[in-house]
Amino acid sequence: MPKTRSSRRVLRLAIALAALAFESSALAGAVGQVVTQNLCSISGPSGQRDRPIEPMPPPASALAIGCEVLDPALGCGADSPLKLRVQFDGPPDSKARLALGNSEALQLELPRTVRREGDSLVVHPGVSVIGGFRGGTSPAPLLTPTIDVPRSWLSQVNKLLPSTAPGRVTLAIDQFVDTTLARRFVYTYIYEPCIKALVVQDRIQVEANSSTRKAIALIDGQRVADCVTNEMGFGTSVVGVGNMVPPVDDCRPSRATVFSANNAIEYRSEIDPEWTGSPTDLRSAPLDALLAQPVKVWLLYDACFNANPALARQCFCAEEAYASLPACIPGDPVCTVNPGACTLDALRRVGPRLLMNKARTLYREQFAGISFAEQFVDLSQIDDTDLTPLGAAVRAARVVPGCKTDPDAGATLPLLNNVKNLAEPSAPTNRLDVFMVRSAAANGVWCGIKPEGANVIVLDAAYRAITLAHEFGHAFFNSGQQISNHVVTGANGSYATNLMQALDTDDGERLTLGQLFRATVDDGSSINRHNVRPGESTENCLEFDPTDKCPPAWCDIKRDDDTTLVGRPKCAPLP
Amino acid sequence: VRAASLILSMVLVPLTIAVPTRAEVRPDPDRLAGAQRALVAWYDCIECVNFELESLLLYSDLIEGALISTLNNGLSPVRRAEIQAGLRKGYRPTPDRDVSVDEYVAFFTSNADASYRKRAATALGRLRTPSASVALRIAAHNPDLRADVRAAALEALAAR
Repeated sequence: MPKTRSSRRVLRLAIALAALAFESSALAGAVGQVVTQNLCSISGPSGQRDRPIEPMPPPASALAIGCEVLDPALGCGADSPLKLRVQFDGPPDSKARLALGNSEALQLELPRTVRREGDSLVVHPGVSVIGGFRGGTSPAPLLTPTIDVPRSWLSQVNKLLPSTAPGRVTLAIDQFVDTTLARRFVYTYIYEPCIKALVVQDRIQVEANSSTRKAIALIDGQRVADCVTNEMGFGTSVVGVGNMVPPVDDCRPSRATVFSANNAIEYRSEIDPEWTGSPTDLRSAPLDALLAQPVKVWLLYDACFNANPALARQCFCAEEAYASLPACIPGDPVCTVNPGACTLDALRRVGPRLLMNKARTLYREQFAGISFAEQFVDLSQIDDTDLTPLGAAVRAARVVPGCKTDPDAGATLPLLNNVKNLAEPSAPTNRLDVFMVRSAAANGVWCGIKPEGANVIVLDAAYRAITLAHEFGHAFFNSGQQISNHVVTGANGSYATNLMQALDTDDGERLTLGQLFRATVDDGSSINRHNVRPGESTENCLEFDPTDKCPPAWCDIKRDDDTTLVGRPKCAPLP
Repeated sequence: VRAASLILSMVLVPLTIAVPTRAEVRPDPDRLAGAQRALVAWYDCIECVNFELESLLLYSDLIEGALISTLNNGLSPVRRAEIQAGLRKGYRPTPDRDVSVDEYVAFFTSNADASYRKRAATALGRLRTPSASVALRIAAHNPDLRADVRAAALEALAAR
């Protein structure tokens, strides 16, 4: 149905351009982060703790001072004077401490309301304007805020019921060049009342937890007065769940999902045997080893990072069909055949391993319960002297149009499959194949826009640290939904550091429990398509919204030893 | 003389009206902000499936200089600092290779820098202006640039 696709593309373009036009009247570069902290370390409703609380920890990443785009014609040159307008909305006697990095050469102009303490600026509630910055200072000054609020105010917040509005402090940092707002960053600090622990009555026994960290149990089921959905409990070996009773009507069936630091996610689509009216039920949840997603990484091109560019591997005239271009002159640096120049480079071919290591640690730290069983094959040293069919296939596959559109994927997949079929004629179908090429028209792309591409990921030579982990996310979270995988998680400021945001900023590493549930349980996930957890229950989840059986994708809560969580702390709807 | 004056005035007056003063050609601040935002969105998108390039080209009258600057200089200091801060925070030692945090940051900063330059090259290829063409030709022959960046510049020229 090309006509339909074309119409959709035109419609999407029109919507995107209309949105852009609308946004043009809004602030430039407004982004934000939400940092949350529960107040279990001061006396709360349960009254069990009473010790000093640390200042609100710094946000996920530092804020750099300067213009993202340096061009005087666009309003900001390297020497353009730049001022910070800091608006701190917090309770009386609170302080925002702005730790400065790369600030040695700065001569700051401080108002009387701002005090300098060593390498930090201390700001009190209200508006402060700090001068002395430039648009393009190199290295750019870095600013990392922490918040300190009075203990008396925290105690008041902690007396609030968890269902009421939490304590909230905001720190808005605007960067002005003349009177033009160049960047805006808003930190929102949320102080959550300490969640009152459930009375330990019925329990889930978490068996074979290979981590000392607390597991998280997501509970659906019936209590005497309530039908509970996506309620969360914690425990290393035992999770108390209150008195669960046999469910009635729409509350059927009782379910539990257990997330942990070093085991597979355990999903029980029905509690068996069912909870009873007794408050001493014990249901065991033995945890399995991490699921191992099979992956094969095909290195077809190596950018060959080297601090000395002269030693970096060059491209080849013949392979890239530049012979007709005026620039392609024998001996020209662009066309030098120099594949051996990388062999002594300490970092040669390390990129694939760094990417896999990053993906492995990132998913483990987020309690995904997923690891990877990877293989590597290096075809990057094939040059234009290799006249074998495989050599020709590799050269042809180094520049592909990518998989952003159906026609692109239609052109890309045969080139990549040709390499795979020649190099590994009986390749298994139950794995993800990652092809690292010179140009893929994107830093990375998952080819699931076509069903036959659901196991294919393409990475451009300019991949970023989290690009492969992000593309794995597309293969895990509702196959076929590449674009909308980005939308909700990236559209709300609370999710600015989610791995699946559409921007490659090298610090988006968060995954929600709702996303992780889909990675393991959704029947479209590569984990289930590849039969990595045979015989286990699967569900057909919606992309983001909850269903009777799946939590919403935004559902999340702090992991036990995390000091901060960027995102909403509870399984609650987006604001 | 009158006839000549009349003809001259017929030519010059419309020209005078048509050529605005320097103050009048100052771009709309909202458009400047929109251009900046579109540039950042284009540089940082992963798959770029949301028409980031098409959106950027709506500002083709404003972005040539910024794109050439990025092609030549790579990451702006502020983006470099933020990317490196994110990389340092996300670094974990590799189990099988001893890659230090500094090597890790340098490796992925090189890729981010290359990514920005390649995106700038692609956009310049779509601008199709004489200055863009010159910048791409220079970049294609610049031995200080990574091979994949030079190739991207060549491809942008070829795509014109």
